[in-house]
Amino acid sequence: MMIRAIGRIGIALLSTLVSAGPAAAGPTDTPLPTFSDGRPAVNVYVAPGVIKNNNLETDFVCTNLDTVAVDIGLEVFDETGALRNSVAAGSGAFLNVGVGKTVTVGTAGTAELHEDQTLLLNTAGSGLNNLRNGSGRVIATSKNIVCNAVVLDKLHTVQDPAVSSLPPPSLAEIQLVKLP
Amino acid sequence: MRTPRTVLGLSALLCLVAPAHSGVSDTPPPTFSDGKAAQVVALLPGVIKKNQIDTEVICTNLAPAAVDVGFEVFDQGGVRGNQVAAGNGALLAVGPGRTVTIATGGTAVLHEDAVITLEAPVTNLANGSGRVVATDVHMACTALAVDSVHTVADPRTCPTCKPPTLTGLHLTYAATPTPSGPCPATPSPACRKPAATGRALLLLQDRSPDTLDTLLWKWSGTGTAKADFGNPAATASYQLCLYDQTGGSPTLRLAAVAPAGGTCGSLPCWLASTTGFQYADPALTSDGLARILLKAGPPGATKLLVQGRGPRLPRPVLPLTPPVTVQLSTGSGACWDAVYTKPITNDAANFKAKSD
Repeated sequence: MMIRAIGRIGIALLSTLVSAGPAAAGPTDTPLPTFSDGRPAVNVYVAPGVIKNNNLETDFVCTNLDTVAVDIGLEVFDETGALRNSVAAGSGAFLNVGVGKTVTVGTAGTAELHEDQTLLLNTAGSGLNNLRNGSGRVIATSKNIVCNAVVLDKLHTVQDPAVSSLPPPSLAEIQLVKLP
Repeated sequence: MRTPRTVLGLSALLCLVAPAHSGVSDTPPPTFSDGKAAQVVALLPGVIKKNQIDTEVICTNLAPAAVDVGFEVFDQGGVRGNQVAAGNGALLAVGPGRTVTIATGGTAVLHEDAVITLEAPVTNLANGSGRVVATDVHMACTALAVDSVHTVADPRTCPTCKPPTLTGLHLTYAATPTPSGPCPATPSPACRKPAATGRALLLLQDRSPDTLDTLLWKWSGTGTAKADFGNPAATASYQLCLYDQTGGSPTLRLAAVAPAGGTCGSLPCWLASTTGFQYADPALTSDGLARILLKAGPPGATKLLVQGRGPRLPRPVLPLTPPVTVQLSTGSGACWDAVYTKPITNDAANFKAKSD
């Protein structure tokens, strides 16, 4: 009886798995979150090429162009398409960013740039504390924001060559796609 | 006497020979090794593989299904340096939402999923061009030129170790890389029509803040049986698509989807009645849609209603360019539409019209 019961449970679980739809994945398919203040997010930018690997990190810098304060967030996805942070729980989220204000969120702190916030990756997807290479999306309560993103070396800073021989950091812009 | 004829023949032959294809824009897209035809997603000038610099493209699949992705490179003379058709620089069946990286060489600092081996006669790219090809154009990519030998070492333990040179390269997309949407690019030709002139109302309001944006579409027309609605409580999603004549041809300006099934708050999003179905989502989670009514009936008594509001509502920039077409459709292909040629109001904040 026990074996039959286990068999039935196994079959039921299997049929549930088979009948379930495909899991949402990536920056366009994953449902948009609601910020912790209850305001829903819209998708503003898709960012292919978010990197957190080998001491490279990715920073997003966004400015509010709206006429009212907006919430702004960054969600990152690893190479499997798994969402690796929770804006709803406050990771990568800025609430009530004032008109004209600029905020910066990074996949980690860097020595060269300023970050207002850094992300704490969850264990979904690859489960590793890296994005090699992933994607992201900038979400907000308004489409009226503008952003740039850079991938940079998190360890080096720019030193005066007259007093130091330390090299400057690697830094490159990544191309964001603004959604209509 | 024969020499002129030979020259003429050679000349005619030369005139008939088509010029060789060359470069990123002239070379026909390849077919992947699984037999699927590729389309050009984006062009990339400045592909470099020389003096320890390599070029990487990092692409995310925005399409709802798996796609094949490839990166073709061309030398400075326009000669293609790899055969995607043979798998060189290609990745097959990349799932929705996944991100892949294809490079002209392995690098110490970045991760690559595929590395191109240059094929004769191409031996380097100094400097060349490239293009991203895929079986679906709904891809978003970033490109980087990167020093292949350096890594980022901690300057406290290695003060003389230099980090890699790294710079972004600008891709030019063949089409704006938007996610693939639920609406066709142009209106479907065979939808059910309103019962008479003026029996379908469209109202759009663009306000600030966006929480005050609204959409209302009311339709009354051709007889519809309840079975024609499918079963949105289980399998039939609904999409509202709006087109205008921007640029002189039908252009999709709004797409909003109410997915099948689901729970909205503590209740099912879709509820069945004896005559049809009702969708209600107070949280406006799906494209700002708040309410949909599908009521079956004989000609003139079939009624449809779609209401949405708030910042998640996709909103076209107003004013619209008439005639405007609105279509409500299901995944099964059944659809209902209305055309608006003479709006009552059409300005930067409001669009209001009754159907033709």
